Amino acid sequence: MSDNNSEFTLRAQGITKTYSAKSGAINVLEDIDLELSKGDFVTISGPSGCGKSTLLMVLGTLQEPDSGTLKYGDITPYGLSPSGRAEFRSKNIGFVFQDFNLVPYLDVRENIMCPGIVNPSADLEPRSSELLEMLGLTDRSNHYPDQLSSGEKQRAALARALLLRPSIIFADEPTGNLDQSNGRVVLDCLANYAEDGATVIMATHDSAALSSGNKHVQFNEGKGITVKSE
Amino acid sequence: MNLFRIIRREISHSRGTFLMGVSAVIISVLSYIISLSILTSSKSSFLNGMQIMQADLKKEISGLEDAIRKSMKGLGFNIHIYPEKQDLSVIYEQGYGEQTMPENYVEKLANSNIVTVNHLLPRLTEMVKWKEKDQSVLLIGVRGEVPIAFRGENRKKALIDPVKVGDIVLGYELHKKYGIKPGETIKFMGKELNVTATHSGRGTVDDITAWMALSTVQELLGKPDLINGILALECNCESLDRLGDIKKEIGQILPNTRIIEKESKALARAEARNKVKRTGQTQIQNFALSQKQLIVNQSITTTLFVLIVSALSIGWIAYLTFSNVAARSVEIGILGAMGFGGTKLVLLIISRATLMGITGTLCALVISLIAVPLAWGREVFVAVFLDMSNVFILMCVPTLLACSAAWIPAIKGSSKDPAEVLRNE
Ligand SMILES: Nc1ncnc2c1ncn2[C@@H]1O[C@H](COP(=O)(O)OP(=O)(O)OP(=O)(O)O)[C@@H](O)[C@H]1O
Ligand SMILES: [Mg+2]
Repeated sequence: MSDNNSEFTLRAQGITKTYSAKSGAINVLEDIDLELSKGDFVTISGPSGCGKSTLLMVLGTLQEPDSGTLKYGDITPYGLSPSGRAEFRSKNIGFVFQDFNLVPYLDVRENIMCPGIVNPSADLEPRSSELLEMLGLTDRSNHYPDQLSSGEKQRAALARALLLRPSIIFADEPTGNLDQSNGRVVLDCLANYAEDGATVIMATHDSAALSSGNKHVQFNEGKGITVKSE
Repeated sequence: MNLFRIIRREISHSRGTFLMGVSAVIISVLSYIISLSILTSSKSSFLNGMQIMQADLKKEISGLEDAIRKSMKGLGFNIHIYPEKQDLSVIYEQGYGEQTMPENYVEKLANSNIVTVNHLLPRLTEMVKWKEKDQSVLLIGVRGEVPIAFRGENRKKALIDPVKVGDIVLGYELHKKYGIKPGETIKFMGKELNVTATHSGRGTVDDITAWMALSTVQELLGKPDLINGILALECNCESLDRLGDIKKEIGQILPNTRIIEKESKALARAEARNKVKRTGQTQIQNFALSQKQLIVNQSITTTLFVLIVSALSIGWIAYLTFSNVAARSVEIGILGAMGFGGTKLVLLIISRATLMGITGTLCALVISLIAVPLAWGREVFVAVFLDMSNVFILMCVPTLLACSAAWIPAIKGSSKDPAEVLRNE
């Protein structure tokens, strides 16, 4: 974890998010309270469409909630300007999207190194090689996203999120497209990352993945959440 | 990995739209250069036309002036100097006076510092009988022009050639009636004379006039060293007021003479000459005016053309950029999620448009560097490309236009929350 990151406690209070659609408003998040600290490996589960991805986006400062506050230590990200928030993200947050979101015209290595444009440092090249090695993508490093399988894309997306060693990682179904052994690699990678002192928040359906976490957030039928710690 | 690499990768990824944008810029820059070249070339042909017309007018006027100057001797123009005692009614009655004055009066005038008169022609005139043919003849003895001494080499060209001793020049009636041809020898009042020239009909007393050397006439009339008039010709007759000055000046040098001003046909001629000049100039002015109108019309048309083409190009570039931004919203969302700030995202999109502008401009310049000299010649080429403001416009405007066309979509694309951009995709 980069040394310049302060030791966050992530605190969300009264988070509400409603989507307006033609058929009417969809209340996805209602009055969500959550508190996470350094070293937590959090799993988020619930039926499809319950709002797992939305919660990750809101917590990951990618989507402003309709109400409620989000605090990283003393910092209120949604109180910052969009640029300020982008800078905050670049320094503290890694995000693995459910649908990978690789840049189509960059090859795997370039995609992984992309966050380095905002925060350049000398060891990005060896760091990217290390991640490629660790996630079994070394022989795919020159391939473009449309030449990869879903599992490969997923691992590339994870490598990209890990590049700058952010203090908090959001992973949206990171094992959704992986076979058992590759899934294990990814889960171990995230678990080790959390053990090293970062916070990992993962949305998943996967029972193996669910058992990796030390804290569980369960979406209830009635929109609320239940938080369980082990 | 840096921003420039991303830009390069993106451009080579979406080559098609990039090249379409480049061609929009090429078309707009080329149409500007072409319009400019057409205008410059028509302006320069207008100036050439003006120069040729002006030169023609000058030539025509100077030819006219020469003709007028030569014809003035036949007009009996300007000033006659007669002896003081001469009764003017006699002059008006018979065209010459009976009083005489010494021939050296003309030398006196010629050796003075006279400025108002350019030509001095002493003469002895009398109506005589050509005994051999029983014919009335107005006999004029001329000495040729007496050069005005102080003018030296600067004096005016002689208006008439002197008649040499032993020669005679005959008016129309005199040679026509008797079938005399130049080169023949005739007898006139007992003298053998060589006919050197014969005049065509003028319908004046000139037709019964015979010109001889002054000395011969003095001898024939028994009036040695005497003359009965001096013709003083003033050629630069631009103002009537100068006649008073001429009279005054001559009166001071030759006090016992009288001066009369003959009818001034030459003035009318000079007036006519001025009129020709004015008409010519008016014609040139009208030509210039109509040509200018033409050029103004042409430049309005070409400006409109350039504006329309530029507007279309801007629209095209804007459309391409908009659709590019739409196509790139995933990328904008992803990069935004990774912490790319608004400035970087705008830069990413603007640079593409800027490169489009620069590439298009350079291509258009290369094309026109070859095409303009071929189509309109070196002169137009130099005029178009040496003008710094043109070069400036050519270098900056298309790129700025491409940039500003990209500006709005860039700002729009980069100001949304990344999640929203990604989801709208
Ligand atoms: N932009 C949007 N406009 C309207 N409705 C939306 C929008 N984004 C998401 N939703 C709806 O919000 C709900 C929550 O979506 P979300 O993606 O957070 O679910 P999820 O729990 O991640 O589902 P899954 O397990 O299938 O990934 C869904 O019903 C979805 O249809
Ligand atoms: Mg989801």
